[in-house]
Amino acid sequence: MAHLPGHSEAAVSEYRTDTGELRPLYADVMAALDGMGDEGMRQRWRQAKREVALDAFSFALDPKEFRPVPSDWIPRLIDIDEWQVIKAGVEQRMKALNLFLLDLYTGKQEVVPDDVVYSCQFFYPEYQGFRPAKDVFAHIYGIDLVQQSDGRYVILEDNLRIPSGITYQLKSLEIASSVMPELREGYDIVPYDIKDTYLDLFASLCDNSEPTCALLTDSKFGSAFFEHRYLSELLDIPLVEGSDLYIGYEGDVRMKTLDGDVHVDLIYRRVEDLEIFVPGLTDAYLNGKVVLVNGMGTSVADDKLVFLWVPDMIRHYLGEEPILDQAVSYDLDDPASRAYVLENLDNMVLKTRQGYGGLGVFIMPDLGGSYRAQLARQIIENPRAMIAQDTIDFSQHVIYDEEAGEFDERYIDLRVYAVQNGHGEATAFPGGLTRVSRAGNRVTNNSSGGLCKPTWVVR
Amino acid sequence: MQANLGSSINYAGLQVSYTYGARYIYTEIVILNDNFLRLSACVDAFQTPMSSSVITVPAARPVQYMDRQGNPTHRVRLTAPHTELTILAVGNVRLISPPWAIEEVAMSVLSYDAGSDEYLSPTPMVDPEKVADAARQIADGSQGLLEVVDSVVGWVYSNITYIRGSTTVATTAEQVMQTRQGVCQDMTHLAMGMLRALGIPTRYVSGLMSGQVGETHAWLEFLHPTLGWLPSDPTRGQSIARGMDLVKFAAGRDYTQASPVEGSFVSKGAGWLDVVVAQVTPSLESMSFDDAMSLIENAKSA
Repeated sequence: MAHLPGHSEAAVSEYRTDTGELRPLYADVMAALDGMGDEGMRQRWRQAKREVALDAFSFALDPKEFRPVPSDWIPRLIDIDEWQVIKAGVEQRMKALNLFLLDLYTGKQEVVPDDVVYSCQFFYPEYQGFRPAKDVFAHIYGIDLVQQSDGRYVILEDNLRIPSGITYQLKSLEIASSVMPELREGYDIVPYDIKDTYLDLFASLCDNSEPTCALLTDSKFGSAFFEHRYLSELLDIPLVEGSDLYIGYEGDVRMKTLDGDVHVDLIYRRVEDLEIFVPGLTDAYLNGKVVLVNGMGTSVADDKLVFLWVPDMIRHYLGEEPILDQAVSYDLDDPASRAYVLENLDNMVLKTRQGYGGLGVFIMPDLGGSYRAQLARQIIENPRAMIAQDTIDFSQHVIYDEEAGEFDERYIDLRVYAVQNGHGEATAFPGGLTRVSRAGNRVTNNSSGGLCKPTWVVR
Repeated sequence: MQANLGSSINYAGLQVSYTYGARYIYTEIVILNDNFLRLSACVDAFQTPMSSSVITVPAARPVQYMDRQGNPTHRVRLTAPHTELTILAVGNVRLISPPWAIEEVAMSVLSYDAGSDEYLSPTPMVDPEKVADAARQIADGSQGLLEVVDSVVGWVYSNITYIRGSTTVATTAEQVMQTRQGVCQDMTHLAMGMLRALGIPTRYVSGLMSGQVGETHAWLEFLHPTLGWLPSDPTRGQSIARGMDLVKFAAGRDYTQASPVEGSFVSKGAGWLDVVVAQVTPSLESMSFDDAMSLIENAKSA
């Protein structure tokens, strides 16, 4: 078997201890891989690649090109005790964010300064006064975390608009299990059921116990179409494009089907600009004729500047201390913070307020000097366009490079998905999606070309 | 409406009614139109708003708040399909003049607290470094703050030719220095850059000017160590603007933070500003939205 990479004391590793020993949790997995031998591993990796292609498991960066999701199949293991903390922290945060959104759109919000929330690109004044079904705005939530050198998980950002990737978590587990069932031997992996949880969520938001639901996709050329198709099959709800829906005489949403047109109770929307896809949908939503998942206006909480106030939201709305820490962040409009960031720019991560998917993220330690001057200048010219965060020394994991027949180490993060239903209950799905950076890079987003890795929570 | 000049002048200054209207026209249907409107008279030392309101046609549900500079702002998003957008702002404000006697401060002892640093720093449209040499030459020999402001504003007024259409909303102070022409926005930016280069904090102000029908106006404010922000109008060569003829909507570090209308729209087609009207008249009352709308219609047919 290929040798593990040389041990470096600088990097924090999740599968090895500080002294370079394999962590006990990983003993069985690594032994099983060892048992396969080089040829065995290569063969499994090739087989998995074939399955990825056959299932069109893709994340398109360019609509003209089929791009299979790059994956590594060595699982990331999270101990159940560790997971319980993450789970509690994620669920706590989701509840607080939903209470914030409700207050914001009913004009009662006081935690975040007005000029911050109302200047968010994704704050939608037209939804002021509107209360979504059961008062829940964000039903599906994705949160990005990394593990620090001290083992604690720290939050990097929140995604409440149209968080994508939950099927990558599923598919990656599914392929790993089918190609290498022996890796699971000796592990008690916490199971979960996305289908029932989602369908219960949908029903809890509708007055009808068996609502007619549809998944609205941007198109089959969209980057996450695989996910839309997979979810529609998994949940057994129709996958529709904008032109399949229209607003009926009663002001409700109707779906064209081969058996005639039917009323739609709930749209799991995977688009942001409603009117572009279904003219009149905004009014139908505002008139309570249809439930949208997620609700509109949620992505004000994705704003990197609003992020700074989430711990205060948790204290204000829940009267609790945040269970999970978040990356230390700076509002560059504050003169003292700005001076500190400019002085320590080499250790900062800069993020544009509205960026998502790894776009508009500048990791200063990894950037050249010319960027430095340019970004420093931007901070002075327009302090509210970006925020800064302390660079976090986060964990690495091992991947197998099948072409080279070698192991390699890469940075990883964890995107955890959670839902909040109409009864106000928040539930995080065990594990999450582990995203792996490209070589020599710390950005892990799929839109930035990162890999996926199966993630297990083990008892 | 007949303005009653007699009663609008009183011991507290001059009370004026202001009206702003703009109509945007689009070649194709617009499905999303997101705008930040800084079109309400703001509170400052020389003006007290008595009333103000802003509407759009088609109507929308705006949110009102103070932006980071403390400017009253309306955020309006239109999501119903439209091919025309009219923005109307009316209000009434009491103006007083800056004092006639303003204490001169020697440049050699001029100092400000750290909070004013951001009004000395470069901004997207005003880079003091780029006009610093010219500023030093122009202010050479001026010993006091007011004297320096007077030299710079006077120089800009005499050396920059006011030519409508010679610049765009994106023209920087440096470019104005090179071409020596522009409109109020450009002359303001240039004077701001020079004053910043000389260590005097400045900010950009947008609003309306009495007697200037059909346009918004721009001027600057410089920081006086004891009296605070004082208005100065390079376009008219007034180093201290004392005319009680300016209604201030917003102040910011440059145009990008204080433009009266800042927005974006989603459409397959193009859009442009079809007509804009602006009016400031002595009066105790605001104009009605109907009358403001007729102003737009009349301006269009004229």
